[in-house]
Amino acid sequence: MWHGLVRWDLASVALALVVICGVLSFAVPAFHSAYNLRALSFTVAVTGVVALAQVAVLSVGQFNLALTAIGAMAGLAAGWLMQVAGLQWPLASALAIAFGCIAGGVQGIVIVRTGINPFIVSLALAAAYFGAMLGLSRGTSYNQLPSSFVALGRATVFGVPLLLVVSLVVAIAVVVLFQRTVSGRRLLATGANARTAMMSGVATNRMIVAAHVLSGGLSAVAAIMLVARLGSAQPSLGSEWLLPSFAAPVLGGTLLTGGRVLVAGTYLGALLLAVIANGLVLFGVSAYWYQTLLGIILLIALAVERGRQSYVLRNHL
Amino acid sequence: MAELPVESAGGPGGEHPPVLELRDISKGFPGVQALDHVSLTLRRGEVQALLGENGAGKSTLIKIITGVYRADEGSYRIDGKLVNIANPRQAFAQGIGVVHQERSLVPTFTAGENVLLERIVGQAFHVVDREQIHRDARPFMEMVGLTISPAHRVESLSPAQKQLIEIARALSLNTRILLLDEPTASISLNEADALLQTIRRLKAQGVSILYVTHKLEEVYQICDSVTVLRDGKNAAPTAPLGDLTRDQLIARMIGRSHSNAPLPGRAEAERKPVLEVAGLQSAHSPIPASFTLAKGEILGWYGLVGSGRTELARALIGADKPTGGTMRLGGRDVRVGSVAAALRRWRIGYVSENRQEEGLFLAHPIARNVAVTVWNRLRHAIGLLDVGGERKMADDYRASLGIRMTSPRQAVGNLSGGNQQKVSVAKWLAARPEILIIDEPTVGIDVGTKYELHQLIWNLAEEGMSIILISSDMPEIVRLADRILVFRSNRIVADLQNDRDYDAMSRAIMERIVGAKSKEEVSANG
Amino acid sequence: MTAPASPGAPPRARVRSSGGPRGAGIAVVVLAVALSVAAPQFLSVDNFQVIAYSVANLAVVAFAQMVVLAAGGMDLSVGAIGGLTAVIVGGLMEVLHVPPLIAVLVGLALGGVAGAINGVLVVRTGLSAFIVTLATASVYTGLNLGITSGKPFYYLPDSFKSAGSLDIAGVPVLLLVTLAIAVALWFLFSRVGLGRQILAMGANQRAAELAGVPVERSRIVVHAIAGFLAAAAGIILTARLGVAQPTIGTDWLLSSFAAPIIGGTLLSGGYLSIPGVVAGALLLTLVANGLIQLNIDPYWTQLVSGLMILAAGGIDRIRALTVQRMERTERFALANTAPPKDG
Repeated sequence: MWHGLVRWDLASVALALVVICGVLSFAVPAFHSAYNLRALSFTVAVTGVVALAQVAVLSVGQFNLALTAIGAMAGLAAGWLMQVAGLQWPLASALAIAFGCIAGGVQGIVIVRTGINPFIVSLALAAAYFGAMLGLSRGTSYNQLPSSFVALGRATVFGVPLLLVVSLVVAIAVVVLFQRTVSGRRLLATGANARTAMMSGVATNRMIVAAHVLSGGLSAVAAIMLVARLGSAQPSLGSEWLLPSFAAPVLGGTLLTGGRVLVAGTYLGALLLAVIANGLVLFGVSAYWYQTLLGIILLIALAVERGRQSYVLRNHL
Repeated sequence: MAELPVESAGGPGGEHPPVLELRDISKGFPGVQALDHVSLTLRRGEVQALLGENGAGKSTLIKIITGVYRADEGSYRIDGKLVNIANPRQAFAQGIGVVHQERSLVPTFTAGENVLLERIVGQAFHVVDREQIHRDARPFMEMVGLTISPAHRVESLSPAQKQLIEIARALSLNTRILLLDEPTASISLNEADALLQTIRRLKAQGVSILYVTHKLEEVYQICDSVTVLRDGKNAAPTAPLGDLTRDQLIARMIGRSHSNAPLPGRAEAERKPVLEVAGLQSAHSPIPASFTLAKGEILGWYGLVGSGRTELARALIGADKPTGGTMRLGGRDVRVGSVAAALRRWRIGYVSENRQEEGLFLAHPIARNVAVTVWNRLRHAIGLLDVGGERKMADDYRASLGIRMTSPRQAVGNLSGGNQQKVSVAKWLAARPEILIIDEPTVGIDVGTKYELHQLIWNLAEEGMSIILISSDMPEIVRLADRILVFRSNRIVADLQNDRDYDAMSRAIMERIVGAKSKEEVSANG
Repeated sequence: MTAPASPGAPPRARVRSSGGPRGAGIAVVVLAVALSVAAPQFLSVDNFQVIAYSVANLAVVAFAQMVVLAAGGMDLSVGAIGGLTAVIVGGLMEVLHVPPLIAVLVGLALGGVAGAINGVLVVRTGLSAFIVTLATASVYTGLNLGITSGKPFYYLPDSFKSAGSLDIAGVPVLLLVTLAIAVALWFLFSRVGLGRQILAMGANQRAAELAGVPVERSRIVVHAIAGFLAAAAGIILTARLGVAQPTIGTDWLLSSFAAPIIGGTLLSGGYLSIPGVVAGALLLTLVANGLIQLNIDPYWTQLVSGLMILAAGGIDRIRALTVQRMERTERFALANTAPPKDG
């Protein structure tokens, strides 16, 4: 039974969740108040999609450092489209998502066509996108958004926040993609071993671009969700997304090297991060310590995961 | 100024003990005995050739001499005294230097700095005086015939010059026993001549040299003695070169066939050409290659490692873009733009020689490895995957190829080499190609699986698949191939019909591999 | 490139890694001239000082990244270390009344320790420097914010603040500090064994190891040096601003890569150019300065920076490809000259 547990990829994160939630429920009763749980669910909803945006490129073994910039761009675009251009929110959202896809696609195309170090490309485009957004918007925010849209941020479906439902629907779609479609198989093959994939007839370049397109689209989705929740579109949207976008997948067992994706684990990871942040607030600890804790948690998670993998390998489990 | 003691140069010296003597060296790895009671004697100031086919044990022997491996049994003597070499540092300390085929230089440093690299980077806290380093490096560079300034950056030197830098570096570390591994493999004829001159010069200064090569013309130009290895044993003890005729040398290099019974005959069938290649070139295979492949034929490509066969295969399947020449499939001119195109449009498959890095997804289970070539066939409507079909396909191949695993979910990386290779082959069988290129299928595989794969290849050809079998295993190729192309230094040097007479075929092939007779040889042997 | 070279012949001219710094230097001159023509206020003493102070800080940040790149790695926490050091030094001086000199030394030591922690984590866990330094950046930034609660230290000792605005014949003292650091680094990497070890390790780790470089230890030292330099950059900026701001370092990441790459330091490791880094820093500063002089919206600065680093990445890639192609052509051109001698 111990072997089964060690072999289970979600062991670490599930254990951590159980322990921390247990401690919090015990120590701070406010933890499981309806109000608090709703706040938690909003956070998880958005963080989950952000993490999926990173997972999309992690699947092919790449990183997307520009997802914060793409999110900000898409969010502002949606805001502008609704407030200034007067479009209805479904159309504005669709356009913003398309915009995110294109921005991601540009990143993917530059990476595969030029062969420039993907890290540099991602870093450079992050700055370029962010700069373009600032230049075009001049730093303005959009807070006169249609009330029908803002209401979505607070709506519930049978008591469950709508945004969480949307998030879970996206998650399920991603699961289906990676587990049940040919494209998903090809993406994971590209990430597991790009050389083998290429030599086996997989169009790896196309897969990498597709992964980036998906990542950009998901970033946009997360941004629109956040705009609905906050009721306004600001340039600072998503500025704290980068680390959680790596931390949640890693906590949940997704490999940074590619080829392996765990959506459920990613959401558990997002939940863990949200609970920890929540715990800090409930305990009255300054929010500033969250970042420190986040970094330490990520390092511990990485080290533990390494240890678990080599333990499994060494003992041929 | 560096000086090496000038020993009595020339042939086998009488009074001094041999500078290097290995006796009854044995080395085994799980599943294979790499060396079995091998002996070698190198005298001071001598240049000795170490000959043998791939897999004969040369590189294992080199690794034992240089301290990378330790022998399981046998004695290792330097200057007559027993030594215990536990790691490369100790080998260096004993005066052993080696120049491999892959370069071990720091490209952004200067020539002089690379020659004296150990001195520069051996310690952290000392001041490096570049001018002094360049001055001190010069004598070593002159010793190997390099007249360029030590201040030139290594990255701007030619491959031959880089090699000389490495030799100079070995000399700077007081190397008395120099091992050279196929040094003329990637340099031009002119530069090879210059290298051989350098070796003569070093010999005159008392350096003893062990020269690994397959080019007999070079052996006859500079070597005094020769040791031949075959299948991990001495095919001939160390002997002066004059004691063996060229034919005798070649005969000793060739292994005996283990292949037991020949396979049952195949129908001669229609041998119309299914692939015609004329002048095909690519960036990695720049010498134009031409050959034909008939339907149902097994065409063997024999050559030593590095002779360019894999590069040509990659050009055929579109992994490297062809830069010239033509390919005709079934009479039609084609351009193979990518591996995906080769697979789907032209039905050409390639089982990679490097199954771990290029043939398999080690972390994935068998189903995902086998189906990668045919996912588009396993598709329901709207792009959903037929997971059940994928699993069934894997089970079918598991059964038909006899792939042993503890569970279908097991990561392929945990399988034995033979079973891994079967998975790699199954992947291409699933794609049902018309032409299948198989690159070194039985390297590092147990004997049982080896014969299963042979039978499989035979059956595939019988069913009409046209096969290109790339192999450096002489018995394997003589057993399976209908025709054999011999590769040497990136070009096809012979196209031989296989009469399945092992002695005759292996001799004919080896003749082509070792090269034409040089004038020294002709005059030496008449 | 026709006749093969015999070992005695001089080597042909090839793409050399030294092309980068020269190119960057030329670009700087061209840009400076263009700006002098386009914007008259560019050529004022005040503007020169602004540029000088900016370069003084940016160059040291770039040096930190340069060292890690040369060893074949990267460090995403340079900004975080810079900010953390700045507030600790500021806090020591303001709250604990530690003399500035001691505070600075403590700050530098802390930077070195933070960098060493990065190095130890990378070496011991075998994880990529990317993810390790991403995590530690978060930790260091978090410590920064946690200590200061986001509030800067405004009341720094006058001696410290005046050092930050002192100039000698118009040249800011801080710039001289930067130049001293540049000279020290130049000495380290061209004349000291440790520097050569680092470069060898970055160029060809296997060869370096075989030649006796203690690779693990060297890597830790590399990150420690980077941390030290990041700390120095943070202290320089604090002295210039006269305020220890927690936001110091938040925008350093891009420039820390941009300046070295523009100046010819190879992303793949093994080569660095200190003049190149300075030229790169100067170029970035001139671009930002130029945008202001030409009254272009400062909001566009980031876009321009992003495009510049993309271009720099492209140049780096072209360099790598050309070397590859040349090596391959040469090998085969030479192999081609061996005529088939079949009997």
